[in-house]
Parts: sequence; structure tokens; C-alpha cells
Amino acid sequence: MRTSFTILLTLLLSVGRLLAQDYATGDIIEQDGISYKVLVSYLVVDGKATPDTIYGPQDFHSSGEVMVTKVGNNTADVVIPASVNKFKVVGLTDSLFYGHEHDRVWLPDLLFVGNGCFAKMKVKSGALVIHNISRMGMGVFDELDADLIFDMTNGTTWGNAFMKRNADSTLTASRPLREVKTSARALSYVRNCDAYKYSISASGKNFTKWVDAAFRNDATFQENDRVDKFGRFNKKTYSTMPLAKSKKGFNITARATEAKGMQMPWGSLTRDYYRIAQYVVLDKKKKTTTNYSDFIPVADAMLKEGWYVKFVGENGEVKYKLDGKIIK
Amino acid sequence: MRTFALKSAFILLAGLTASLASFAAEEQKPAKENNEAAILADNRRGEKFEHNGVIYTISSIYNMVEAGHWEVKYDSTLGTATAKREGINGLYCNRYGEVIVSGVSAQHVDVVINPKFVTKTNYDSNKEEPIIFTVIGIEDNAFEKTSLRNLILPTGMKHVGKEAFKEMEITSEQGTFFFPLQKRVLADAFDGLKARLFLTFEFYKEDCHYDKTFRNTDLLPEIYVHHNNSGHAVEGLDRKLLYSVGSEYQEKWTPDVDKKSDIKTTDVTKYQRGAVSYLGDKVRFKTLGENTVSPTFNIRKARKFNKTNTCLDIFAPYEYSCYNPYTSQQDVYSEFVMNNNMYRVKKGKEYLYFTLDGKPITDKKSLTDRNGKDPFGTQILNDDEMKAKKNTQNLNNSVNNLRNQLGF
Repeated sequence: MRTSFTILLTLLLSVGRLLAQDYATGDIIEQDGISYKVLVSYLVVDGKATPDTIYGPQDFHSSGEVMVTKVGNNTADVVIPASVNKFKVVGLTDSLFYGHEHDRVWLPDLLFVGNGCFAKMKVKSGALVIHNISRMGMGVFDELDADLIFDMTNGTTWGNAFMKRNADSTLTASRPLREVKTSARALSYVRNCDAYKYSISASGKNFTKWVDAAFRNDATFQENDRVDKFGRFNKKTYSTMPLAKSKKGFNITARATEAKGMQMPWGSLTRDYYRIAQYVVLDKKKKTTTNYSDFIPVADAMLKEGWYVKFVGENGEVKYKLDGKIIK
Repeated sequence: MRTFALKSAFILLAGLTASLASFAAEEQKPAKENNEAAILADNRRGEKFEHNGVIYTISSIYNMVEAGHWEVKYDSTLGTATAKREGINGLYCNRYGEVIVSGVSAQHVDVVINPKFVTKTNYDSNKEEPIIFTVIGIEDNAFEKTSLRNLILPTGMKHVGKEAFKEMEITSEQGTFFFPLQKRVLADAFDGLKARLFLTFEFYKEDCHYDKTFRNTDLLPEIYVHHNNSGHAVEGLDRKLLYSVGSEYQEKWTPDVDKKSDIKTTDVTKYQRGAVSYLGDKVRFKTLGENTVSPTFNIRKARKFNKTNTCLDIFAPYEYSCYNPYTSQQDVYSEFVMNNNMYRVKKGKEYLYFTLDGKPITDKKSLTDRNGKDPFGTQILNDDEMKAKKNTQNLNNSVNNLRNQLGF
């Protein structure tokens, strides 16, 4: 009787775990007329979870990063959200807005945008506001029919964002049709880029006026969250914390790394671009850090806690009890 | 015997008459000016003249002994003059001046104000030597309500007056008024300016002061600077007022006239050249050259001068402090001029003459020509003195004739 109950419980937990892992790498999420491709997924716990509130594999859910792959050309207002289904929006694919015509476009902070992403796009409100984008492809703003406003707070890697490659493989300047506007604060970030030559900067009220006009002075449109506030992108997978004084156990942190040989998301391009999940395990007792490529919480009714964790790395599988001891 | 006595009596009488006449002339000499009285550095201070469409007011004119002299070539077609230093081995007395801009004489034209320019000395009737003028400031309301195609200014001027460019209009295609950094700009200089205002800051490192220049922001035009200068701190300039732009905009907005002009708004090296709008380091000279025992002159700002309550009063005229090793005296003069044999200085209203090694020439009348002018072309004898001098000369001539006749 007891054995059958254990098997039933294990099955139930496994089903729960499967349900929690909604999307795998390569899946397409569609929401509000915008398509996203999952670049990487990994298991995390809820941001406010502690070891006392995690009872088994069912408390883990998948999170990760997605890239926007398609936006409808007919929509007047486009809002790219900061996150979709607990996945962070990190990039825009090549030529995403190529030749599009929209009234207003709102973008979150991004890690990358692909080649020619905003090329030949027309924004009817008169300006396209770019927040923090860490890396850009080639000819990103080529013949953009709008003022380009950089409202940045971080540095960037521009690459050849203001250059384009011609049919004969030569590089020529590529620029928006209208003005490039920056805040005085962001000016230092564009210093090493061609945009510096043909940009106008302002600070204080003057710059705010530009941004407000780009969104037609619509406060609600501007209030799209730039940074997700709900801890969905919490990288903490599991920890023996909050027992900070405990000298046993381990911390697991999930992270995404660039796929080898594809360190820039353009070239042969964002179509083939994925990132790789990695779990960093810090053993508190031995004070060693080990990286693993996969992580599986496994229900086991035979154990006192009812479950254990399994990692897959270069040296094969490693099983840990929750107090950090290896299961041989 | 009788003839001899007659001759002696006549000669005695003639000598007496001559000495009397000379005594009378001595009496008519003007009284020596009090040293404490205000010294006018140059009597042409405040005079206005026009040059290439711009009206200038003379602030001061000063002479300086230098190796070489300025050879000037005038281009009648362009109406410009270029100066080149010649004859470096010899010592020459070169003329310099400082002017402030008072306005323009024409509308709807390109106006280029060079930091330095050369003109013929028609302000000094007898001299053909050039004066090299430096533009040191702009008067209050100088360009108010004018309409110009373009206006190009030098950098580093000492002073730009109140409302200097108020409601000025730039009518060129570029519609941009490039304003280089000046040492001080007074209140409301750009109120209601009908042009895009572009402030340039290249290579000017001295302290600059903008006093309430940008206070009524509603009346101001859009003000631009280059990105590179957007961090440039100037007292009285609120950075939030400014837009900064890249080189491409600066080049696009640069006026056509800039390409023909000596000073260029985009060429920084030209700015460096124009950045000296004041008497430079070379303010000390000796009449016989350096390493000699001769009078030493220092040009300095006049401590006292007549004030007229105009913009000109901001700029003190120059005066010469001199130590003369021959007389071991220190003195202050308002004018100085020199030729190959002597130099002349003016103290109060009196002209004093010295040889180049500093020995005073006391017999000034011997230096004057038949018109009563001294070797520097200045009329120093008045009508009465001229009459007395003629009488004395006539008497001397007659005495000499008599001597010749009588065989002395």
C-alpha cells in the first residue's frame, strides 16, 4: 500500500514538473499578434521562494529568453513587452520592422537587434525611441523615416549599426532620413559611432519634449515597463538559503551563455541564434564552483525530503541530496 | 674811427632787438601741465571710421619699437590689405591700434570682422605708415535690429555690450549665427535674434563670463554647440538651454562667406590665430634695441583718463612709463614716436624731444621747419610763435647780411 502511494505521488510530481516547463528552446510563443522564439530556457524558482517553501520539483518553473521574430504590419501601435510568459524579451530578429509603417513603437531594454531591423520603416508619430540596446547589427536604421531618439542609460556596442554592405561587398554609411537625437547624458555612449557626427543632443526639458512628442504625449503609452519588476527573471534556481550561517548545502544559479561560434547574434543571423543554459553550483562547504549544462529536480519518495537534484555536466550525471551530500 | 663806432653801435642794437624778440617768444610758451591732470593717451580716442562695411570706434593707438616694419599691400579689387614684416635687422617704430565695433554701414550683406586688420593712416594726415588695428570689443546695441546676410566674428574679444545682437536677423540660407567664445558678454545680447545661434568654444582656455546673457529664455533663439564642447563650462551659461550637434550639422550650417573669409568658423587653427584681441606680451622696448643703455619704455593701461560714460570707458587707453638712464628719471607719457635720430614723447600737452640714448633736446625751436612742424610732422608752434620765429629769423638773416657786407 505504502509503495503504491509513493509511486502515485512520484507520478503526480512528475506531471506537475512537466506542466511547469511550458516552453523549450526553439518553441514559438504567439501573443498579441507578435511572435517570439524561445532562445533558451532554464529552471528557476519563484523570486521570493526560500528552501522552506520549496517542497519538490513542482515548485520549479521554466524561465528564459525570447527573441521577437514577427510583428504584424497592420497594427498602428506596437508595444514590445519586456517579458512574455515568464520569458524575458532580449532581442529583435533581422529586418523585423523592415519597410513597416506604424504610428507608435515602444521598445523595452534589449540585448540585441538584428541587421536592418528598423530599415526603411516609417513611424507616423515622427520619432522612434530606442532605450538600452547592448548590441546592434548592420544597417539597423538605414533610411528610417523618423527621428531617431536614443534614451539610454548604459553603454552599447554599436558594431556597424550605421554602416551597410553593398552588393559589391563595400561598406557605406547608412543613416536615418531624419535627425538623430540623444540626451546629453547618452552622448558619451554614441561617441564612438557615426551617429555622433549627425546627432543633436539636449538635456532636461528639451529632451523630455522630444520623447513625449514621439509618443504623442500619451502618458499611458510611455508607462510600458522598461524593466520587469516581478522577479520573473530571478536566476536563483535553488539554495539552502536563508540559512546563511549554514556551512553545508549549495547555491544554484541559472544563466544563459552564448552558443559557441555564434557570439554575435548576426552574421548568418538571428534565425539560427540560440543561447545555452548553464547552472552554476556553489558548494558552500568545499567552496568550489561547478558549471553544469542541465538540472533536473527528481522526486524520490524514498528520501526524507521526498526529492533530490540531479545535474548533467561534462563528467556525466551528479546527484545531490538537498543538504549538499552527493548520492552515490 | 667814426665808422667803426657806428658799426659797433648798430650791431649792439641789432643783438639787443634779437634777444628781446626771443624773450617775448619764450613768454608766450604755454604753461607746463600738472602731472596729476588726467592724461589722454591719444587724441584720436573715440573717433569713428568705416572699414569694409563696419563702423569702428578707436579705443587707442600706440607706437612700439620693433625689429622690422610692416609692409602693406592693398588690394583695390577686394578692398583688403595684407601686412608683412620687412627689414627685420633694423629698428622701426610700428603703429598699432585697438578698436571696438559700433555698428554696420550697410544691410543685407555679408559682414566679416577680422580680429586684426590694416588700414592706411588717413587718421594721421602726414604719415603713410599703416596702423594694425585689433578688434577688442562690441559696443552696446551695435547690431540691434540690423539685417545681415551673414556675420562672422573673431574669438576672444574682451567685451560684448548689452543687447549687442538684439533682434538681429541673419538672412542667408543657412540662417545660422556662429558666435565664438568671448571673454565677457553682457545682458540680453541675443534677445529676439532671428537666426539659429551656434556657440563655438574652440581652443579658448581663459576664463569667460556671460553676465545675464541668456536670462529671458522665451526671447532666445535655439542655441547650439558642438558635442565636443557640450561639457565646456562657462560662467553664466546654463547647459540646459543648449542643444549640441555633431560635425555634420556644424558643416551644413557654416555660412558660404566662411569659405572666402580669413577667419573660419570650422577651422580651429584660424581661431587660435584670432584669439589674441589684446596687447600681447611684447609691451617693453628700448629705443636703441635690447642689450643697450637707452631709455626703456613699458606700455601699460592708463591709470587716469577722461571718461565719457560710453562703452569705450571699459577699455583704458595705453600710456608709456619710461626710465631714462641718461637723466636717471622715471616718467609717464601719453604718446611716443621715434625716427632714426630722436624720439618724441608727450607729457600733459607738452611735447618733449630726446636723442635715442635719452639726452634731452632743449632747443625745440631749432627742430621745427618753416611751417612750425616738428620732424614727426606735428604742428607744435602756434601763429604768434610762428611770427616771433619769423621775426627772429629775419633779424638773424639781416644781421648775417650786414656782417657779410661789413666783412666781419
